Amino acid sequence: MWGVFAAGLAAFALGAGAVVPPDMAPIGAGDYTPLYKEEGEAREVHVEAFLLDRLPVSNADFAAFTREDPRWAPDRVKPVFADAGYLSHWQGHDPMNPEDIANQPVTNVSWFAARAYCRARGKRLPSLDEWEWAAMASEDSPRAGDDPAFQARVLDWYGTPAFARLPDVADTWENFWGVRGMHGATWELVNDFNTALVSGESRADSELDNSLFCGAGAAAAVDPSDYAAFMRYAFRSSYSATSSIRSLGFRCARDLVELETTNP
Amino acid sequence: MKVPALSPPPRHDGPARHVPVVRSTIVERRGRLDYFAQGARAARAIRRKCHATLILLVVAVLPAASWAADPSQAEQAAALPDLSLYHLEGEWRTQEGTKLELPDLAGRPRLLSFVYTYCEHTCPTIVARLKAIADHAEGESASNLQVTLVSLDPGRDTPERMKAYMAEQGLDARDWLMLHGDPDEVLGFAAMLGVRYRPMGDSDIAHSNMITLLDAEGVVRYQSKGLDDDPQAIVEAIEALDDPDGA
Repeated sequence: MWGVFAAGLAAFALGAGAVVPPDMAPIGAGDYTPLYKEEGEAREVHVEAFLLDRLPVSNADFAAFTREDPRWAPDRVKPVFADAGYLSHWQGHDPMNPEDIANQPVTNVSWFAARAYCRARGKRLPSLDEWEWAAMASEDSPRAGDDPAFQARVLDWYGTPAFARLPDVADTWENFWGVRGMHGATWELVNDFNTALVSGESRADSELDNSLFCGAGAAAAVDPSDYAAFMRYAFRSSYSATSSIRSLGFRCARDLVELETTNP
Repeated sequence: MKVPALSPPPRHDGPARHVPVVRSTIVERRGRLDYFAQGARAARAIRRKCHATLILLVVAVLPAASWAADPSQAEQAAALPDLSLYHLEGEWRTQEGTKLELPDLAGRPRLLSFVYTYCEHTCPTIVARLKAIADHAEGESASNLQVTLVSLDPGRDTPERMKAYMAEQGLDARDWLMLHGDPDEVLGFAAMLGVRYRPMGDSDIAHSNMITLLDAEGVVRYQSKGLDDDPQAIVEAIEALDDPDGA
């Protein structure tokens, strides 16, 4: 219900003539507090309104893409764009069969492949800030990051074994913006994943290594109690642009500069 | 050749510019990159015109001649090894404003780092280290080496600014190249190399202090992760390119 309300609010703000693609949800502009901030800068980051896919990209979606552009097929992709695990879960399965894995979120895709998919659809990967802002919404609030019950539910999923069967993309709960699967299906790629700066030594990550990073000493965690955000941050720090990970999927975004602030 | 211990990181006032200019040895064989850096598109256009004239004369006899002589970007990329970074699509500009695509960089071994010209922290140290490495490496690959600095700040690092920076730093355009790209292309190139960076405030960018050695086909041969790494290892990696079995 809240998703419908949010979409209606956004559609109103868009004005007559503006069309939101049915597979995308308008995410209103708003402010959120990222995990890491530079010294002396405001805690909150403003995220402009944008469009986000309502559902994660499915195996069927991605299989259609690889047929359109065989450079991204599992047997054709260059190792400089994806590692050996690329789409390895398709072996023994039919990614187009709804009775099989077609409707599950596609995983084992590299960041390069996800970018190529989104570009082919006239979209892009969401930025880290956009993803985190959209993921902060519960069913009835766009800003549930401080809600202990919401945080507990997210962490509960983070504790679920990654080898469990993935839910179909539509079988996850819908948040305030009308977006499903932000939590509870897979981790998701963001465009600027490589803005997460860590040293090679995980125990030193609270104090980043100045020999590895210029200016790293200025980065500091704002809210160390946000354990879920820490986990996402650490996860983004752990993979490369060619990594194919069974629990890592993605969805696409688009700009929506016309949409004014709808942040309640 | 052994690299002497590098001096401590320069202070913010940039003593790096006092480091002697890179090797005086110029090898004629270095041609390919210079060709691109100094106007690949224009040179190609001229060559295409010549080809067009020739084709008019011999069109019925040898229509494929111009194709073989002027391979397309796709053909160039197809000839590269699968592990070549130069498969990455995108358009770049040099400090001269010349457009190029990454396959155009093939032909010379390359030391690659991501910096920005307004950087006052470790970038001068990186540039000084690159100079020292290029100065001390010996052999055919070292003579043919080109150092490439990719700007992490394409908004401010225009080709004009990059050219001025190279002059300030005493970087010879034959042996050094700066690249300016769309921010999303920079992100992709950096991600391909494992370089992480993040804007810090309005003017600074935190970034990996990484130096990567690419062979002439754009395949990564060595990566130095941070400034604590021994630069001698990169020198040895460059010299190892001359040994086909060791490359």
